[in-house]
Amino acid sequence: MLIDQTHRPWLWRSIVILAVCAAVYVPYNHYTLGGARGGTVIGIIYGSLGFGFMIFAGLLSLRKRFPVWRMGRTSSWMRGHLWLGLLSYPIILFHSAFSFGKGTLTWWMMLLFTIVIVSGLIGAAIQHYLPKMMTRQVPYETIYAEIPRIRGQLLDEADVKVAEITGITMNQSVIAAAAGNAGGVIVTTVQMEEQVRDELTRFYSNDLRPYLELEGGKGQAIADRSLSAAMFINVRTRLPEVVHPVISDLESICEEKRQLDRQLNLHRVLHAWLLIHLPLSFALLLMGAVHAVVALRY
Amino acid sequence: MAGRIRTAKSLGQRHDFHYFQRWGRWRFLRAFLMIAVPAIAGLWLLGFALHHDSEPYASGPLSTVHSFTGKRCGTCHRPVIEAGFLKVGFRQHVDDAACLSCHQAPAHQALQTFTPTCASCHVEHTGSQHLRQTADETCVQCHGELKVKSGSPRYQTAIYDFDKKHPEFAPLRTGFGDPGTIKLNHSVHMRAGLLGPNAQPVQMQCQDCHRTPADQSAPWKYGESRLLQTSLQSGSSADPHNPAMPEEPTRPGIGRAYMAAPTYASACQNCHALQFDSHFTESAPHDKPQVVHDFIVRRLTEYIHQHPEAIHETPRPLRVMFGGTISREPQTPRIARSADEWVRIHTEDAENLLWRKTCQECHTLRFSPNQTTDSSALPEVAPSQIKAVWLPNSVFSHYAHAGVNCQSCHTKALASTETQDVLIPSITTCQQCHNGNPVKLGQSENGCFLCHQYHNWKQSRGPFIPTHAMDQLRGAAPQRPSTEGIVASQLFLP
Repeated sequence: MLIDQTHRPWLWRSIVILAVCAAVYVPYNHYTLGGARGGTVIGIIYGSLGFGFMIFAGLLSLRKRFPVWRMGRTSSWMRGHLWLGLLSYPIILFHSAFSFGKGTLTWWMMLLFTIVIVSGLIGAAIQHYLPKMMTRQVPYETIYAEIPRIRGQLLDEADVKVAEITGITMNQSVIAAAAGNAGGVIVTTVQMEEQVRDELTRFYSNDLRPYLELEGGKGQAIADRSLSAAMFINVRTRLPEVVHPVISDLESICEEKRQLDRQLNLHRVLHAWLLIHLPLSFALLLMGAVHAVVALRY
Repeated sequence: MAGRIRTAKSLGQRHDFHYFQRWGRWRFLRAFLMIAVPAIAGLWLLGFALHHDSEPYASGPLSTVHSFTGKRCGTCHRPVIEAGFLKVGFRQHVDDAACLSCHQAPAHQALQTFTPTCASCHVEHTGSQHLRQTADETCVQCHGELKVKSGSPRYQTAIYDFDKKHPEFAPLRTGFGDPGTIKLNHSVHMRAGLLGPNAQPVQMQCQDCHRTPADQSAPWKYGESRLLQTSLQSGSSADPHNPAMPEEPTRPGIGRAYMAAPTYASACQNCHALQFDSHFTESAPHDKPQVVHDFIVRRLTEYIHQHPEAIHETPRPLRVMFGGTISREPQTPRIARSADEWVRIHTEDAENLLWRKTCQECHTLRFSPNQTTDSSALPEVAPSQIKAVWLPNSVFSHYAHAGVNCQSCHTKALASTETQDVLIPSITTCQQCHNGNPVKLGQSENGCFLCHQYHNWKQSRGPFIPTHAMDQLRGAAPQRPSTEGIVASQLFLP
């Protein structure tokens, strides 16, 4: 989510709440017998407020699960999640009197809380900058879950392109389907020498096709844009001009596959923090509920 | 041959629009972790619950003295209301009864307007080793603006901390003097080259006169070793109905907190001999005038019986002391005609020397009005009133300060010439070191608890009645006995 002008009201509200809490904390800590503690009335108010913000932040995933609910826009929930979730940390510190937790449960909760907040901040920064980067670097961006499907389509397209000029089929089912579309027969459109055909076939089967089949481009020279460009120039040099349009199509397919790989990598970066943030948040909420009940009781 | 044609429609048609119904690896992993991690946390807590172990829920570690109660919160935490066998109430805070079921806690002052709860001063679950180390704020909540139930407070009404807002020690405030009656000039006694025993020059040290009860038995330079009752307890008793108590365990600080009052026997007698007659080298006993009188009469009677020829001797000068002759105003030598008269004359002379000169070196003697005519009347010696404890509402230990020489704190002692001089250190002397709240490097603790006791242990209300079995305290037995009704007795409330 972009952190832009629309966040300004949330920012100011958060600053006001934080300032009020801090202003109350100073005299509260000074005049309370034995200093501020979580168990005092004001300490419990801080704890309730902080835990309330944490619960609100946690409800975002529920809101996302039911997008048709008429409970405010998801973007507003997201902003609330971001700012109130962040605000919950200093408020919980006021609750604990800036102690990291002296008990086992409270210590673990503070540790989880810190990790959740830090991972959330990292996530917010990533969500702010990475989409722009993705738009710039991946013009062919597609739906993440559809990447394997699109990759398969690119491979099929490349197979057909190569079969059209060489008559050599890499994937019978694809060629058959393409032939069906073309009236039942694949016609080689280019007359070429055997040596040239072999050259193109070797390049496709050895360099290009394995790369198109593979998720990501690890270990493939053609995955590198500059190396790929050099390889395609080399192929063009050795093949007659008549097949250059097909080579260009193959290069275009290769570039699209490269962008899909890039999207995969960026998507992992964009969402990996959630693997830490989300589970730990839910664990924290569970432990927080237990802590609230036990602390109020004892 | 046409190149690749990519329209929005062709790109859109590539997708399967039910993709969101499928679970990819990423989504599956995320869902798995969202279930697994909270489940692990829940199982962790459940494990403790199944083992009846409340340790993880504690707000902090128990103090070392209470850690033996283990992981059972119920040992101290109990429902607010107990209705027979039913425990009612969600909250299980520790009330005073829980503390008083194990501890005695005498009340502070009968006139105090407010009695704090035990837990408000002795804060548990902070891992403290010493629960008696209460925060200053607990004292200041009353002493910051002291009020009493009736009348006006006897003490300072605005005390906030030791550093800045603590009054000067009471004996050092204006108009207070040492009530002691022993005439002692510290300046003279600490002077270099002072004539000591056998007219030898000596340099006296503070420890030559001032020692703690526990150190009384060590050799004395200018007196004899002695045992104080306060330092040692008798280890044997001949009375079978009142057997002797065994000695308390010996710890270094026991009997070394306060200085014992210096005594003539241990500190003075080697220099200040109580010579009473030139026929004797021994001193008169340092005792009440009647005892001294009886001693003198007995010794003179014994002497004259052994030396009847001395009856007709011309009296020698009364006494030689520190190289000078001490005598009364010139008078006609009195020559006895009988042994009884000899004893009477010599007793009068000896007592005249003692009462009028020797004793008055240090003591204040009060003579009866008819003493001028009746020489046999004995004077009254004013009680010495040497104060062992100058600050009775606080505690102090010389043992804890043994590494500091005496003059560092008792700065006025070497220059003192008058008995009335109060020589205890000023509060500013203490504040030089005890200025750490909280304690930092280079500073020493100065909490109220360091010198003052809240509970008035001088009260005695009979023996303590323990109510716990060991298994209950350790958490092996589930039920904690009711402590209803014991609060008042253990608190010593009036």
